[in-house]
Amino acid sequence: MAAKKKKHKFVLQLSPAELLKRAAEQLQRGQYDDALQSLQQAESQLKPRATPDGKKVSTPPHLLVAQAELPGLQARAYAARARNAGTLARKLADLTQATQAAPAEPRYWIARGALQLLNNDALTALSDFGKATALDQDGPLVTRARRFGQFAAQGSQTVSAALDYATQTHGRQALFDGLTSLAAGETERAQSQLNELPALDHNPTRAEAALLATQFFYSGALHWQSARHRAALGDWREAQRLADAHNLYLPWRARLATGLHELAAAVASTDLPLAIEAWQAARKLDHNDQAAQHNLSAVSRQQALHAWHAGQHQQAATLWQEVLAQQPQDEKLRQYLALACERLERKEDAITHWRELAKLWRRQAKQRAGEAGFKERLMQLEQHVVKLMLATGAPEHEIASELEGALNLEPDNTALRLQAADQLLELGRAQPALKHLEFVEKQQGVSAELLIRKGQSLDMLRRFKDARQMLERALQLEPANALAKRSLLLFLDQEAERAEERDDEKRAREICQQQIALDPHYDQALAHLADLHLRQRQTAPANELLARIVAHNPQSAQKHVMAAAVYLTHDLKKDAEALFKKAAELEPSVECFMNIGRVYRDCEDEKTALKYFDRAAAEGSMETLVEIAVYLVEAGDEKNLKKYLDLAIKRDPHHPMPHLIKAINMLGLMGGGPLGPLALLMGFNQKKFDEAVVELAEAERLMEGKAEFQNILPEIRQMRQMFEQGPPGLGGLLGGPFGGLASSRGLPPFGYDEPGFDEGFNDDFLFGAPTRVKKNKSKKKKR
Amino acid sequence: MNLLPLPENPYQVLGLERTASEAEVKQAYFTLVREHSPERDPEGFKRIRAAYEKLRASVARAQTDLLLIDEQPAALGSFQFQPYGQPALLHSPELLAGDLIALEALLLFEDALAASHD
Repeated sequence: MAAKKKKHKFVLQLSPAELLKRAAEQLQRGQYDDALQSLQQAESQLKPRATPDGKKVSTPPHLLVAQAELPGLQARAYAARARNAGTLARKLADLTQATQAAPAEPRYWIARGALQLLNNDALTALSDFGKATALDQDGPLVTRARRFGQFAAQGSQTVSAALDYATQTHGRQALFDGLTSLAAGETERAQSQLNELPALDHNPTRAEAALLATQFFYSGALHWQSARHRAALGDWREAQRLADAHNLYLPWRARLATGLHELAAAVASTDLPLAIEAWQAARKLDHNDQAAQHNLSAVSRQQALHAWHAGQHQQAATLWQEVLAQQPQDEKLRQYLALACERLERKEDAITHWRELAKLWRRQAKQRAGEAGFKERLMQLEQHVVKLMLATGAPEHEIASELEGALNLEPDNTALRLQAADQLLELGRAQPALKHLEFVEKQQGVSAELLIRKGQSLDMLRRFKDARQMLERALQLEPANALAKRSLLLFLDQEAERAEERDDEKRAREICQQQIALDPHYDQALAHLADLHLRQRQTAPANELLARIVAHNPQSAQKHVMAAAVYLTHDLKKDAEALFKKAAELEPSVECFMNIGRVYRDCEDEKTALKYFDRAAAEGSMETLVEIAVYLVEAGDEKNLKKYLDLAIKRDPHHPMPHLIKAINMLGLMGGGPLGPLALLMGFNQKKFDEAVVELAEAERLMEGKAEFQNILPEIRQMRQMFEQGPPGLGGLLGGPFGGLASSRGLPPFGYDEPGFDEGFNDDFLFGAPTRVKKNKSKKKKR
Repeated sequence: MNLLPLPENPYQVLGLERTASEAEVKQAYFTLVREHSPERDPEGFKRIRAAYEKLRASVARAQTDLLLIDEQPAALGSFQFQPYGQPALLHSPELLAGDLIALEALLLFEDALAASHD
């Protein structure tokens, strides 16, 4: 391999003097690590040099000054870092470096000696103070250090001696007065003395902060002793804040956590918020405080349960979410959060949590096999997750993977396999469903239910012959099984339709007869067979079959309408009318009138259809009126349309659909016909156009904030904005985004299949029946 | 938001712990049914019966357990605290002396280093 060319990197190299200057500036800014790095670079440049044969090279004069300055600056940098270090060990390490860099400077020895005393190492402290004394026999700081070293090294100092010493050294202070009273057992006096804070007109120095923090700690301890819990917590938090802010190493800090925990435990049952504050302070003091963490979590859980049962579900969910972040493996929290999300209609979040729980339980399945109800719970969970995923329209592959996960857990669980098969069938995945069903068949043998499912799978796979055999077998196996009979009848319905599609009337007739043999009152088959007879002008058998439909339940208006529809399809108006009349007498309801109207509409007898729609409109809902209106739009009956739409608005003034249909109609029928190039050439009705835009704006306003219209709202808005700018040009009408307005239906080309567009309306809404039965022409029956 | 009411806790209705065995569930049901017969207390009976139906079969009980949130505790804060080590004294003559010496050491340290930076 060819050697890589070495790239030269050009770095601006500072001179030692410049590095020292930079270090001093960094020290000033408190950038201790950076300063020490700069000094290290300077040191490497200032090292004494030698020639290859070992002869010393004298230092150039311009570097001598920097060489002399370097150790002092290094010592300052280490000492400054030591003051700000968080741990005693780190402080000591830095101070040791400082004493090595500037061994002739007594203050560093004194500082290190003081740290040794904090570290309970009096002997080393004395040695350090001794070194300082050797360097500066009579200096006041050295004298103080020596005296303190001797005092501290005695080993068994009394409180009074320590207090005397402190007072002699620092003069009288509230802290020392308070502690003196405390040592004498005068706690009340001690408390009042400790409560006296010194008046400071500046931010406290570290030394002042150390004195103040200690005063707060002891004041808090006395409050705690006297059960003044809130005051105790306040003082302790202040002590903690000062010690943290100045990185003060003081022994009482180790006892503060105990105090905070004891305080929390004492008040938890009477003043929970205060207990929470105390545990929070303990956790702040030590982030690894497991007890504080545990207790805070326990409180949050209780608060969440209270919130939940008080109906504050959002608050409960937030609390569970917070605790779960700390304890992600807690199954109960996960379960509760999932339930809360479901309650709050956050189904996607609920699924995420349920799936996490399922994953956790699957991993534990073996070790928890003996736990009562565990397996059943897991199975229920799997079912629940899949149900939710189906309800939210989760991606098929995710649903399948969830099912696979459950099946991997228990491959021999036939109940689960059946469930998986059902869910796969719902997803339209017949092939894998069939595999599961065959597995179950091998394990358990056949049953009517299994054969029905297999029949459904085979039907989906368009293996119709096999499907029919399965369903027939199911019924043979259990002749009284209603589901088996119903499944076969429905399957035969489709068979009959397929026969009609092939124009195989003979086969259609056979199927009808088979259905009637299975169920002599099966209306669909009776009506279809009657229809087939009438096509052959065999009136007598048709009459007999249609009479059977009615005779089965003579009080049912629906049966009368069904039989009448067959007559009307074959233009046997008198027979039809008699039955319709009877139906209307039996059940003079909106639904009945609408059904009769629909039959007339489908048979293109618009006048009679309208007569029945009119009767339905008298008491019909807004949806009924809208359905009629749509029919009128299609029929081009503008005269009646306005009446129905105005009535619909009156019935439900907050629904956008009547306004939308009004607008669509006005835009679609302007100029007396569908809006198109011809219409524009023939004349443009500005007034109608303006009215249409107003109606569109009203529909848009009423759609705002309604979830079911959110999918089409942007298109309506876009359309309205476009029309507000003026009537569409010829180009726009021919090929623009709303070119479809020129369609013969006069309905817009958008949103028909958008979810929500026809929510709340029946299947025929907007379009009428999917297949329109033509008068005297249709050979197909309506099923 | 139009929400359905939360399901009633069948354990609470039957006066049972969540860990109750099948036999305990049955026993609790029959005991309660004797007190709240359909003739004497039709509503109470209905409630007890519904609770029992949710717990009697293992599959139904598994579903109940999955969709049930525990009852709230009687009072907030009524739980077993995790203690923080052994209780310790916050102050004593020895601790006070130690604190004073440590404080003086800290003040000396600060004075020494503050002086070196003057």
